[in-house]
Amino acid sequence: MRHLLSPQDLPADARVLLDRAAIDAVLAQMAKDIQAMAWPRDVELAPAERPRPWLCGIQRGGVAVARELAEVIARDFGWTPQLGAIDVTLYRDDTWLKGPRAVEGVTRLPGDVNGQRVLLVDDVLYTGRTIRAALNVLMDFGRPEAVRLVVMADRGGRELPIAADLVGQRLEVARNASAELCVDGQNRLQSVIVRPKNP
Amino acid sequence: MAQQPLLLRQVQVFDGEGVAAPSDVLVARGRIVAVGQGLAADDAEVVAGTGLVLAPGFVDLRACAREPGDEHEEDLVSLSDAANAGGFTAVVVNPDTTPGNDDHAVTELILRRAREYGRCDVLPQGALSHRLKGETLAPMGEMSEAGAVCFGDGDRPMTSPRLLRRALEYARGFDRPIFTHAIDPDLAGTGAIHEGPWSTRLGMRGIPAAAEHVIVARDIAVAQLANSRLHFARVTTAKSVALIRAAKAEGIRVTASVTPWHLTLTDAAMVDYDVNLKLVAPLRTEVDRQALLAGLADGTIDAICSDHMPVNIAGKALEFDYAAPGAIAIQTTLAQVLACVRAGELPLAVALNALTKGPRRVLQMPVTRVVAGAVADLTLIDLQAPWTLDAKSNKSKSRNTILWDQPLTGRTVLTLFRGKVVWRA
Amino acid sequence: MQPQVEPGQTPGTDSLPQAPQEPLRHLLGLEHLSAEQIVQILDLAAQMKAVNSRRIKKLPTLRGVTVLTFFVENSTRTRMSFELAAKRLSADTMSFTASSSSLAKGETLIDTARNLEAMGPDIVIIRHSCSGAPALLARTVNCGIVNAGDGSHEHPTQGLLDIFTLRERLGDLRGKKVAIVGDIAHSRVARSNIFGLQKLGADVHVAGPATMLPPAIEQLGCTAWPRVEPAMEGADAIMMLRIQRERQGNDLIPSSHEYHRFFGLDERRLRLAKPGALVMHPGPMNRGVEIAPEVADGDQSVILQQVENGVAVRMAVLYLVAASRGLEPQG
Repeated sequence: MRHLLSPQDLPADARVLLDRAAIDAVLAQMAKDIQAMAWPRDVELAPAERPRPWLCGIQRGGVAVARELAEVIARDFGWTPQLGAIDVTLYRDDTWLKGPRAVEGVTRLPGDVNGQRVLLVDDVLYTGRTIRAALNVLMDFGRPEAVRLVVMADRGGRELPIAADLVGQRLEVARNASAELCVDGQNRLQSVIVRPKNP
Repeated sequence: MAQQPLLLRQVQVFDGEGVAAPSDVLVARGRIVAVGQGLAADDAEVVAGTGLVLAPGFVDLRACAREPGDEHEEDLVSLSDAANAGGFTAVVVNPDTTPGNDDHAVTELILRRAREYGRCDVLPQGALSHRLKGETLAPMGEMSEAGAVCFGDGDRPMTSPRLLRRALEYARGFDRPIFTHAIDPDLAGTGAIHEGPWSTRLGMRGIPAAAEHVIVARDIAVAQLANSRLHFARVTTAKSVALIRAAKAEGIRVTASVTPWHLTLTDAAMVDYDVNLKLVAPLRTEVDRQALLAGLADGTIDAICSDHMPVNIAGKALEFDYAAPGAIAIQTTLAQVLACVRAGELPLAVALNALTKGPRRVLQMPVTRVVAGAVADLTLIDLQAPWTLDAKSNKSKSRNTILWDQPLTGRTVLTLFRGKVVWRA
Repeated sequence: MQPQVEPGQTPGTDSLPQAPQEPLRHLLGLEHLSAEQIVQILDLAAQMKAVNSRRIKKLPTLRGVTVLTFFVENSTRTRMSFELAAKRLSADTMSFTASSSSLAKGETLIDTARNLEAMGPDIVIIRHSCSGAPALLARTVNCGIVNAGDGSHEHPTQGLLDIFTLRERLGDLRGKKVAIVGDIAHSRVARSNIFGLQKLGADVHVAGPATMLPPAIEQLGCTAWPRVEPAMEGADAIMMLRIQRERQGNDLIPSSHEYHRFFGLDERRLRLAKPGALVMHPGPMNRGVEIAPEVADGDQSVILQQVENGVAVRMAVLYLVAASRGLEPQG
């Protein structure tokens, strides 16, 4: 996630894949799909008894996406999802390759995860390694009823057998490029950009 | 077999005041035959000496030979070699060996071993007390007769001023000075480094400066009482220097020496807890270091001693608290002292006198000069030569020094003992 | 199980301050850490602390990492705290304890360390009665070294957990007055706290009988007092140090009784401090010597929280040291 405090902060070599208007459209569609999403115990429960899923964003881009997604759901469907945040720093599989990282943010769940429906939210899905780590974080808190993966964008390039249940937008990004979410000073979504990877 | 004469071409002779214009020096049959211009001798080996300084052989007032008893750390042969490589032709060896040198038989053993090798005057310091226990006088008369040049209990503190008085009085009859290591063991406690900001920072128990100069003050009074010669083997504090300066002004017969470590380093060097800087007399502050340099310059301090203390790796591969104190220095003393000279902290003449004339005066040995007829105990110095003390150049059996593998400047390139080449770089 | 969210807090705004993390190859003391590095360790420790209140109190972070506790001076609770921290990070632990005297008689410390190194630990946590022993180890063996207390030098993880506890209660430590009382001369806890607190801007005062104040202590960045009252007056926190008469010999204070009367923390002296000032002690306490029982057990005491925070802080340190070593070329 990149902070863009002004348009000048956009790197010179960046190309915008999704601007704010495109993001709005993507979020609206995602909210609709979430509303229509089926869960394993739906058959046992009357529609009114079906628990609402949590939106748990992965630090830090996923948290920003989850927050805005929750706002769209509230606006369009009249209920406010509970929000959680998951930090995967201590569950990463590349600590030994890349050394210590600053912990990105905190992990906080809105309540007891046991039996909960959880929507894991991330900004850009790539290798799948972050998702693997996030699932492990979640499982260390308990046993949710089910977990679904929701991503705003999928750039391909998976290295693990992980697929999103819901993709806002599929992107074509070359292996030697990186796709990044840009936010403003209040962590509001700005754009998704693509730029060459740092050599 | 007669030695081949040696002709030192265009060397700058150190005459006690300074360095003279280049001249030739011819050495034959153990003596200096001539000093002058355009000397020639058909059968002589010629040594090019341009740019080199020729001084009388250095005399070290304090070194540990570790023989008898700890020959794995050093012996009289390796000490002689290391001394020669450092420019020394005479070395006072400590009595705290195993067994200690508290008997003429041990003195004779040391001298016999040294003479068999015959490359350095080994000058035994006899023990002051029986078994170096600080209780009863050792047979100083017999040891003097055997060849002991001074008396002292090595690094053991003199806890009894009464015994010190008796030793000073008794030694007067044999015209020998008493050497002491001035420290109050009670005040020093279990300290390992100088007590000050660094001991506080590093969490080390400190040895206050006062632990030294209370004894210096006491011993000056005792020396005056006994009217005898007392030598402070290594002074480290500014206050000690001031006390000795005042005592000398009063005519009390005290002398003092300082080690190259105390002239070049302070307790700030302890920051890495390097066990090779764990010394019997701790490194002090910058104020003390400056006072020691000033003391040398004005003659309060008579000599620079190497305080050479070889310690086996087993004694040093330990926690600082448990490591044995001391560092080897006899080969590096000249380079260390020359570092002060280059830094403008010490005139060259003062430095060289403190290695040549000063120690001879402490021992009341004849002061030798580089003149025709003198015994050819000489050292030829390259003030600028870069070198390192390493496995190849080291002559000691031990390697406990922080200067190991470090670049050094200034060394002895040739040492003559009785006219014989005993060291050549 | 505790819910992990505080009411009113919006996820999405709780990102931690980002700063490039410098590798922490060893933790030998707080003297050589920057304020930023200390804050990073403490922020990470807060994350670790959250883990310790989960049902599954374990992270997979240090799987495959071997942590050796090498205690050449006995301290069961520090060792347990480190071992628990290592285990909560999924590291394998082994322990070696010896008395330093038996070590000194036979094998040298360096020989012992090389033997232990041959068993392949990634991190060695050393406690030793000699100042500088961890530095010696760091120069000798190719492992991350964590100092668990060396002589009278430093006890960095204790300093970190104390500072963590202070920040948890007091927030920003700039300008906060912290009194450290006891045998400053022989206390590694005091040194680590002086170094660390001063870097975070606290106003550190040390106090005790002058026999227990080392020379030039003020050069470390604190104010020293030969009586405790001026140090305690208006303090935000008072840290009492353990009086160990067996270690310090008997010449520093006349008696435990007299120490308590003039230098101990009782309710009367605690009233000199700010209302609600924190009472801290690194443990184990001598009740009735440096601290009165009613103060140790009182509302203002955070002594048990210090112990709890110790595990989280040590987890943070182990993670950073292990991960920093991951940066080095293998073999």
